[in-house]
Amino acid sequence: MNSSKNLVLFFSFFMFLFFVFFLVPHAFAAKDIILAEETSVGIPWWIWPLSLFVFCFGLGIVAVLAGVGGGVLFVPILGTFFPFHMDFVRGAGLMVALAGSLSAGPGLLMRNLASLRLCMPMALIASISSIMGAMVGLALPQNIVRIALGLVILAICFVLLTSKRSEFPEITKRDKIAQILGIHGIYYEITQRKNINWQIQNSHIGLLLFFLVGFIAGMFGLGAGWANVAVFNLVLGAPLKISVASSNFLLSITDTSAAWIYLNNGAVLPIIAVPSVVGMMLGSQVGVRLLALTKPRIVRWLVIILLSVSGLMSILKGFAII
Amino acid sequence: MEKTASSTGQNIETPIDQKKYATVLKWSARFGLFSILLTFFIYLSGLISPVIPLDKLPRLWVKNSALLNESFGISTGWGWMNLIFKSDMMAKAALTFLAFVPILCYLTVLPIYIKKKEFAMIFIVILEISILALAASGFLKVE
Repeated sequence: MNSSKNLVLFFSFFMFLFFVFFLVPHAFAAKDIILAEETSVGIPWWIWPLSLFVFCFGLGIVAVLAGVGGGVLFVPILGTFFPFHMDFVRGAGLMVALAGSLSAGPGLLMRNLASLRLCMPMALIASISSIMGAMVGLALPQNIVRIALGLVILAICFVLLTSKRSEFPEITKRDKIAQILGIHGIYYEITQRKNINWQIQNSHIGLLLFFLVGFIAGMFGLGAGWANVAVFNLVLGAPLKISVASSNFLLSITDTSAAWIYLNNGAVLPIIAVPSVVGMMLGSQVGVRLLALTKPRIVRWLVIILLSVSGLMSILKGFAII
Repeated sequence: MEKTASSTGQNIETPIDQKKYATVLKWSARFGLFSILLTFFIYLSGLISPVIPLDKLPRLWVKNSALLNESFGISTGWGWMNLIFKSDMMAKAALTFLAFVPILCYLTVLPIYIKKKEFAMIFIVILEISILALAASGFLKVE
């Protein structure tokens, strides 16, 4: 137990040093494309994928401990502290969210925690809007994307701070769409040692909200777990476990649509995407093991502070102030 | 929320469509992730030459995707497949396979809904496949 705690402390210290001495100076150096190029060229090429791997490994741990998707942390932080163009950061962000979701999906589906019938109609709407978002995002100038991303990140911080989740929401009336599509299910709740039947309500409102969430996810290359869970749980009334698992699975479909746009427009560079995907997936595995040793509340606060700083810096970079 | 205590314990049958989707997802995602690691190793090892030399990347990734692709004559859409024998394009192909996985999964469950005559689900699945195919087609280019 003690050795695990020491490992956490050592890793946190290492990440802190990496952040302060390697990433922060580059954030300030990358004010414009010429300075970004100077920063980028001044360091041997192989340092970049290696540092991406280390950074994403840490991000994977933090994301699990804080209970947020890695995608939402990846784009604002990478976009702020690494010299890559936002096109490649967003392309890699989508691949990171997609790979994580694809690997978690089978287990969640087989254990009846993610529901295929619940996700399919929502995914359809979110896919359409995420394609639209991706096309808008790639067409806009980088500074506009940075400003908009910063504002969205600050809004996400607000959502993370204020949203309350409900373990088993009350369903007053099952709606027509859910009845036609047979959206309901049953899962085993291990904490209560019994099977729980669930159903949903307000599908029409949920579909509208997923349109908005899909657009934002596609435009900024963010995974949309931060919003999906809230819509599934608070609007549709699915139990929290079903909402978290279905949100994770849903990303594999909605992010695919946007990922295709980035892939076809040459905005996915393997040298950026692959170390990020591998680092994040390994980090998530370590994060799951460390979950019992840490206080998620503290980590969650740290993530909110980190996101707020990244959001503000993204806005300032968009206005070329830093 | 309607909660029902059941004597069945955790013996809950996973719906057949969900089971089939999960199986295809599991194996195709594993294959995809393995391919990514393999092709990336080939890319970094220099066994096969890339289109964009690795040491030139730091000068290029600060520019937008259109400029970078133009500099090396990489076409948008599926044009990059002409360069598939280059190591960076192999790695890109492996990443592209991951984006194919949901299409494969949807195609797998479609016959189940057709057999059950679940017309609403058939409509949703066909529409989703069409949208993903349109996104994959390369017709949706950003100039």
